[in-house]
Formats: sequence, C-alpha cells, structure tokens
Amino acid sequence: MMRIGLLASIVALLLGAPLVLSGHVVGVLTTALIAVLFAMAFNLLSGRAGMLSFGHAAYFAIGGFAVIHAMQAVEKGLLWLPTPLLPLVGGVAGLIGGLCAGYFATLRSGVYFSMVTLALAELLHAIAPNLGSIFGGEVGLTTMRMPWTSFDYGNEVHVYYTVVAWVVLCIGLLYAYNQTLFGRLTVGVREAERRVSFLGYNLHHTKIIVFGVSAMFSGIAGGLLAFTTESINYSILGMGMSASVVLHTFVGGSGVFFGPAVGAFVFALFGSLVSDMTKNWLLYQGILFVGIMMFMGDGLAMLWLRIVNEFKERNWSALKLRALLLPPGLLVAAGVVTLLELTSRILDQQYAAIVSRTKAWPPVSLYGFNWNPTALATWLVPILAIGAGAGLVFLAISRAGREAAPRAALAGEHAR
Amino acid sequence: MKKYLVSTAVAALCVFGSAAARAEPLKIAVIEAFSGPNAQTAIPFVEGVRYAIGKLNKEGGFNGEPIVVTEYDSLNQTAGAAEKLKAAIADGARIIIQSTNSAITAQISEDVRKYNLRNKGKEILFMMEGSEAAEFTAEKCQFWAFKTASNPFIRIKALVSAMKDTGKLGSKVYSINQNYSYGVDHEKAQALYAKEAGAQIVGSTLHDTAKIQDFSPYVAQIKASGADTILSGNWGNDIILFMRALGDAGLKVNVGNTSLDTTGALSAMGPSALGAVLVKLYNLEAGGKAGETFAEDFKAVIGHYPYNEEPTTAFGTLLLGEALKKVSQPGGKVDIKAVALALENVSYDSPAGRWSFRKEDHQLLLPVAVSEVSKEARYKVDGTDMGFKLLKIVSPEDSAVPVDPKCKMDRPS
Amino acid sequence: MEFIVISALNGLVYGLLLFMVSAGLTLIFGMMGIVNFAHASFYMLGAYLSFTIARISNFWLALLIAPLIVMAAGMFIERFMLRRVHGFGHSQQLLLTFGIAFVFEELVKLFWGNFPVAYRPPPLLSGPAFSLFGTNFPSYRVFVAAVAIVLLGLLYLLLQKTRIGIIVRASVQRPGMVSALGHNVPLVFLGVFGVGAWMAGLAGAVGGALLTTSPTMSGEMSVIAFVVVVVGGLGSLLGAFIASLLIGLLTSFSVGFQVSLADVAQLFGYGEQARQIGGLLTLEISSMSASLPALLMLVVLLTRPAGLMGDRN
Repeated sequence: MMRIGLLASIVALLLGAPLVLSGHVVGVLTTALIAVLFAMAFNLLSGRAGMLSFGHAAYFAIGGFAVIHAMQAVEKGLLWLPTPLLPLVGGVAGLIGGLCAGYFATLRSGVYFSMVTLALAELLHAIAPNLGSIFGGEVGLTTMRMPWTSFDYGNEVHVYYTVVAWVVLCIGLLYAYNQTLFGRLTVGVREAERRVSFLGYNLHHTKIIVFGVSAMFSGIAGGLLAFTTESINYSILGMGMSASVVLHTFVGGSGVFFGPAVGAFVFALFGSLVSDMTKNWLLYQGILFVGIMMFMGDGLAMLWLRIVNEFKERNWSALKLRALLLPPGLLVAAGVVTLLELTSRILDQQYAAIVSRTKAWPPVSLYGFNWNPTALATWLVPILAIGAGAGLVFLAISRAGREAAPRAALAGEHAR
Repeated sequence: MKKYLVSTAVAALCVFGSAAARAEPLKIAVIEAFSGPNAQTAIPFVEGVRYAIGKLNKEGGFNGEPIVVTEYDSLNQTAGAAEKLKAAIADGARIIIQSTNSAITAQISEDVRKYNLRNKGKEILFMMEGSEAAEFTAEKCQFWAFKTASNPFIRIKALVSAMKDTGKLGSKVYSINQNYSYGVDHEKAQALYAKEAGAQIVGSTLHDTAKIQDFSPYVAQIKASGADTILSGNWGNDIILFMRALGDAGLKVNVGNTSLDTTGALSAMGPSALGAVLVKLYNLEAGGKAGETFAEDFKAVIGHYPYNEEPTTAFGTLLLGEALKKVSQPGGKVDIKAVALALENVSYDSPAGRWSFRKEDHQLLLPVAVSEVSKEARYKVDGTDMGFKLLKIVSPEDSAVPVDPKCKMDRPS
Repeated sequence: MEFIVISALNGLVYGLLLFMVSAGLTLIFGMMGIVNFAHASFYMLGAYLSFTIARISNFWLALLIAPLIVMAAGMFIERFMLRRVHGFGHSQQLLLTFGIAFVFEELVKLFWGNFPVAYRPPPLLSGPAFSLFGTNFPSYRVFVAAVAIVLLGLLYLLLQKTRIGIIVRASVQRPGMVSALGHNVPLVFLGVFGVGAWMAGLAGAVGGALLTTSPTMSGEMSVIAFVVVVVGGLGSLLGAFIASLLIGLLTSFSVGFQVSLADVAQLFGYGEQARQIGGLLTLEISSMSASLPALLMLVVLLTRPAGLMGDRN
C-alpha cells in the first residue's frame, strides 16, 4: 500500500514539475527520464535475465535513428503518424534489431555472451560513419517535430509530458512483464538455465525474446531522445553510451525493480549539476561507481530498502551504526575531492604557464578560499581529513562488530 | 566553469558604471566541451573568444554596456549541448559561440534555427567558429548561423597552390584520410586540386578514424605506390602516428596536412615532422608589425602567445564585434536581426588580411596561411626547437571556393 | 614482394606487443575467471609512468621501475578490491574492473592531460636497424620484438620448468584440488595478477614509445586484447600467442587490400549494380582494417567459442 502511495506521489511530482521549475530544469528532467527508461530496459536483460550486455547503446541508437527517419518522413508528408506516437517506431526498430542480434548473442552465455554484444556494437559503430544515408555522417541527421492537436511541440513542456507519459507507460509494461509467467521464466534463465529447459521451454528462444523485449524498450528510450533533441548522430553508438547504462544500472542496483531508475536518475542529475562545477566530474562518477561496487555491492536502491527495513524492525543498533558512519564517510569524501581538485588546478595548463613564466606558485582558489600550493597545510588538511575519516569508519565498524559479531555484514559484505 | 569571464565583465562594469540609462546587456554564451576527451581541443577556441570579448569590452562593449559572456560545458555530447543551449537561452543569451565537434555544431545550428522559427522577434545568432565540415555552408546553411572557419576545399586549395609555388608539390600524390564525411571531403578536395595543379593521384586510402595503432603498413603501401607527395586531412593521433611511422621508415616525401599544430603534436612527432607543410587560418609570423602587436597583446591578456585555434576564434569574434559596433546605440535594445544583417556586410582586418562573410552561404572569406615545420620558425612550440615558418599567405580571393548549390538560405522578410 | 616483407615484419612486431598485454589477461581469466577490464589500464599506466621516469632520469631505468610500480598497483587491486567482492560472483568483479578502468583513464587525464605525451624511443634506438628495399626498419621495433621474445621465453621456462609453474598451471585447471593439496591458492592468484600487470606495464613502457601514449590508449588496447584472448581461447597462453601474431599480421596486411564487396560482385558480373547500391557494398577492406579484429572475434565466438586453443566452452 505504502509502495503505491510512493509511486503515485512520484508520478504526481513529475506531472507537477513544469509548473514550478524553469524550462531548463525541465529539459534536464527530460533527459534524466530517458536515461531511467534505458537503464530499466537494460536491466531486464542484464539484471533479471543475468545476461550482461556491453553493447546496449546499439539498440538505443537504432531506435533513435528509426524515429528520426520517421520524423523526416512525417515532415515530408510521406508518412502519417501523430507526433506523440513517434517513439513507437523506435520500439519496433529496437525489437527487430534486438531479435536479430539476440539470435546470435544468446547462442553463447556468460562472458562469451558479453563479448558477442561488445563485438556487435563495435562493428555497428565502425560501419555507421560509412553509411551516410542511414546514419547521416559526422553531422548526423536532424528534423523537426510537427504540431499535433493543441500540442505545437515547440514548447519544452509539451515534449516533457510526452516523455513522462512514455516512460511511465513503459515502466508499467516492464512491471507487468515481470508478473507474467514469462517474466518468471526470465529470472529462471538467470538462476537455473538447465531447469528451464528441463521444464520443456526452449532456452534459446526464451533468451532471444528477452533480448528482443529489452532492446525494444531501449529503442523506445533512444527514440525519445531523438524526439526530444530532434537530431541524432552516430557517436551515440559509441562505447560511452553502453558503458554509462552499465554504470547507471549497477549503481542503482540491478536486484531491485526500481534500482536502475534510481541510479540513472542520480547520475543524470549528477552529470548535469556537477559538470558545471568541475571538469573532473567524470572521475568522481567513476570513483562513486567503484565505491558502490566495493562497499554496497547491490546498489543504492537496496541500501534504501535495507534502511526502511531496519526502521520497520526497529533495529536501532544497525541504524545507529549507519548514522555513525555517515559523518566520517563524508569527511573522507570531502578530503578526496579537495585533494583531487587542488591537484587538477595545479596541473592545469594555464597554471603551468603562469608558473613557468613567473617561477612562482600562486595560490589557487577552491571553495572560495585561496590555497597556497607550496604550504604543507594545504595538503595536510585534506590528507588528515581522509585519514581521520577512514580511522573513524574503521573504529565504528570494529566496535559494532564486537557488540554483535554476526552483524559484521553491515560493513558492506552483505551476502546476496 | 560557468561565469568564468564575469571578472572581466565586472572590471568593465566599473568603466561603464556611470552610464545613466542602463540598457539591457548583450549576453553571449560559449558552449564548449570543457570536460571529457575533447576538452583540450576546445580550450584554445575558448581562449580566443575570451581575448576578443575582453578587447571588445575595453573598446566600449555593446549599447554602452559591457558584453556578458557565460561559459557552458557541452559534456561533448549532442544531447548535453542541446540541454546547455536551452539553459543559455533561459539565462538570456542572444548570441551562441561554439567551435569543436561538428556533431555538436550541427545540433546547435538546428536548434537555433528551430528556436528562431518558433520564437519570432526573440531570435538568437549562432557563430560556428571551428567546425570545418563543409555541410554547414551547404545543405545545413541557414541565415542565423555564421561560420568563421574554413572547410576541406578551402584549405586544400590553398595548400596545393602554395606547395606548388614553393616547389613542395611533386608529380605523384598519395592521399590518406579518415573514413568519415570530413575525411571523404578531404579526399575529394585533394583529388580535385592536385589534378588542377598538374599532379597525378597515385593512390588514395581512407582508414578508420582514431583507431589505427600502427601506421607503418600504410607507409609501406605509400612507398609501394611510388608517391613523392602525401596530402592528408588527418587530425589528432592519426596524424601524429602517421608522421612517426613515416619518419621511422625513412621515407623522404613532401607532406601537406591541416592539423600538425594541435597542442602536443609537434613534440610527439619529433624530428620526423620537419619539412611537413601545414595549412591553417593564421600564422603568427604573418602581417609584420601588426602581427607582432597582436601576438604580444594576446600574450599580455591570456598569458601565452596565441597558438593553434586561438587566433582563429579571436578574429572570428572580433569580426562579430565589427557588426556589433555598427548597430550599437547607447541605451538601445538588442536587435539580433540587425546584428545578423550587419555581419553580412562588415569586415575585419586581421594582420594577415581581410576577414568577411559571403552573403550567399555565410562562409568566411579569409586569407589562409601555409607554413612549414622548421627549426627557423620565429615562434617555437610545445617546448621543442621547432615551429611553423610561414611559406605563403593565400589571399581571400585565391582561397575562396564557389558557393555550394545545395545551400538554400531562408532569409527573414 | 617489398610490401609483403615489410608488412610481415611490422605485423610481427605489433603482434608480439599484443601478446605481452594479452598474456596476463588470459592467465588471469584462466585462473580466476575474471575478465579484467582494467588490464589495458595497466598497459596505459606503464606507458605514462615510464614516460615520466624517462624524463627525470633515463629510459632504461624507466623500463625497469615503471612495470614494477604497475605490478604493485595490480597486486593492490587484486588483494584489496577484487578479493573483497569475490563473494558476489564474477559479474561483480567484472563490473568492478570496469569501474577501475574508468577511474584510471580519468586519473591519467587529470595528471597528464587529454593530449598524447611526447614519449619517444631513446636516442640509442631511434635510428634504423637495417634497410630493406630502400625502406628503413627502425631499430626500436627490433628492440620491442626482442623484449617480447625474451619475455615469452622466461614465461615458458617459468610455467613449464619450475615448481611454481606447475602449481600455477594446476590452479588454472582445478583451483579447488590445488587448494586441497595444501597450496595457498589466493597467494598464487595474487602472484599471477601481479605478474600479469607487470607484463602489461612493460608492454606499455616499450609500446608507448612505439605507438602512442595518450588517455585513449587503454580503451583501444582493451578491445584488441579481448579479441586476442577470445580468438586464442580464454585461458590459453599458446592460443593468445598465436592469436596475437595472427591479428598483428591481419591488421598489417588488410591495409593493402583495397577490395570491396562490389569487386566480388564484379566477378559475377554484378559490379555495376552493387556500386549503385553503394553503402556497405563499396566499403573497402583497407578502410575497415581496425574493425577487422572485432569481426574476427565475432566469427570465432559464433563458430568456435573455445577459440583456437581453448579446451572449454
């Protein structure tokens, strides 16, 4: 019951957002929602079915290109399709692409499966620039959304509501899929392949269908991106897009239905906000990912569920430990960020030019303070912060461990 | 990253602070890849803009107010750039400047066109100051976008003519380029102008972009073709590795290229780059006294001698400045359409010659500098003992290529 | 003839370099079941570290020290990061190495910038070694090949002729049994991971000056190294060796083949039609040479997933 209430309020918040937020923030939300859908689609294959794909950008892009071509056809009057239904074309293209690629990829399993998906995506990425008529060459393809009834689609908000509708619908469909017998079979593929075939199901066909469905929703996500930006370019096929969906999904947690959504939403906002503050935002994104993989292997969503559970069970000692760990954890993070930011400012080309010209090391500005790079304190403060924070974390964990030995698991080594 | 130039704006504000009637300031947004793999390519473009806007503000700004510049990180993605463009428009920017990555340029150009269609009277202007792709003044040409960059045809035309004049063009030309639209345009231009200069194309290769680890097989191929001159539009690692493989094999041929001056390239190529010919929009040795004044002034403001793309965006932005001066009225409103119309008619005199726009396709007409990697260059780069010695300046008339018939520009009534 | 000989030599040198990187990757997979996405990062780290050390002291010292630092980094990652998530299964380890590779790339950008650095062979090795048909063959290429061959010999002796080698080979086959026999399998893992990182670091230290030292080098090498390991058969050292040479020669020779599908169609009299269709049909093999390894990997995976020399599927 509580869960439905939570979902309803999230949807209400999404619907009400444009009333209070500026056009730019609505634009950021739109891209974040697309990333959410892509991660959810990816997780169907990689999380629920346990087939880790390293080339999912291919299906995302196929959907995007299909939608752009459809939009161009609509613009020229060659095709009749109401503007809000355009992303459907991306879904169909993604499904077809996914079934074809899935047929080959699912011949193999485990690491071999991942390698096939990687090779397929790499090949498509290598061939795309040569096929100018389909992929538009370096500058890509562009088009324009046509008005539909009272929606003129020149407005940010119209686009936003269309994206919200599609994302909510698709997530609903993904949820419904999981409830069906086939949805259960999907988990079966991950947990006990052999049993699935003993039960009389054709394992290969099952895998192809799962691959196809995942690619279909990825295609819709790609189509929504093309629909939003009214353009697409072959660079979207690159490894970067495939990598970021992996990052999103596992940061959020692949074991929880909404996990990938959490990860994608957090990282999309992170990219949008932090990139204006520091050029090292990709590094922080990577460190965050490694940290989550090491210390809370099943992702942010699972952490949240665990905290909720501890509240329900009135497990105060576990909650106390978490509360105790938070300040030193933040201290370590602050120390690391300070250290990296100072380093990056000093290694900056412009700074190096000043140093070589004046033979002096001028202070660098960070958080509104001036830091003298030759002073010992500048480096000692963040290093001490990291040391003290790490020490406190260690202390808190070992004390909790002494108090309740079995709960040492809380330190992060949760059994799955 | 954002509001980097606010300090210059504030400094200028002190000068203008006394103005009685406060007009709406002109806001310019620079959208560039400040992070990710393209960042270092992008920074020189931005430095040029920073220098030029500082200079314009010193000379009086626009409408009696200093010009406000805000910088946005495109994250080097088209979707990111589209998002930042919206942010810039929301912040009140009326002129957008962007340079690196043709895909992003295409995205912004289209978004600007659509925005202007949907928001009549609140138009914005787009200055593409670095994208070399020929499409922007052909299929993708539009009234609201002005291109202060060349394209493969302009560059190769100037390169081949200068190489011929200085005896560096042999009779057998091999053309090696990257396999995507830009490289393909280069291949076409090289075939066209080499033929015009009376040379024969003995071989031509398109290879994967930025994926080749070892170019020595290509060098073996070139050796086998018997070529005495190589023309290439390669950039980045692809030209560095190629030049090194060429040097390793000890093949003595003439080389003409467009990107030998990327930061770090000369030091990575080492002595194997000596004698190679570079075609670029500017060379610091050009223009005698005026050139020196520019170089010293730039160094005084930015901290180093202008290098790579810095002069290009500086002059491009100063050309925009000429148009701004023309329509500027103290206390007046920002009228972008008037700025755009003025831009079609003004010119800027760079130390190397005159810069102006062609009305038909908004392509920049400009003098092109052809230089040679040499130890005798006046300005040494990358901490090496090498630099770019000016061979020849090709005049705007001689470097211009005809308007592409595919350019159909919708002009505002 | 000239093109064939020169291309064969270049292909061999490149192949030997590939082997230095992929040997560690295949050993680590065979033994620990981990596809190490961070392995090519060790290659990159080796190149950057030796560039920096060579700049402050000299090239030879750099060649000695840089791979050792990389080895230490590799052992740290195995001991304190990978082993920590061991309980979560292989996919968690794979994702972790994926993240580590990402962080390494960004760190390299932070410290050395986005552009390639000027890492070049030392003066002693910058001249030509010999001349063939008027083309110089650089002595540095000979040196790279020599380093790789010495390494190959040492690896062979270590694995085939020593007691450690027997334990390592047994751990690849039956880790459980080796452990039951009282050997410290985690220690063997740590050692193999360290040696693998050391080899990749050494490959970077010599290869960085031959090819290029830039932040993208790890991503580029990563894909090729995977191809080598998959084509050779995951876990098979001999397979990796054969596949390295094969891919080195393939990329070297494919440059010369300016043949497209349309030319094939020409043989059957449909050349004109194929050219009109354009697109894929007119794409020349020479312009796809960097993508051929990915294609080869795909074909091997689909037809013979165990690879050339692998014994498991």
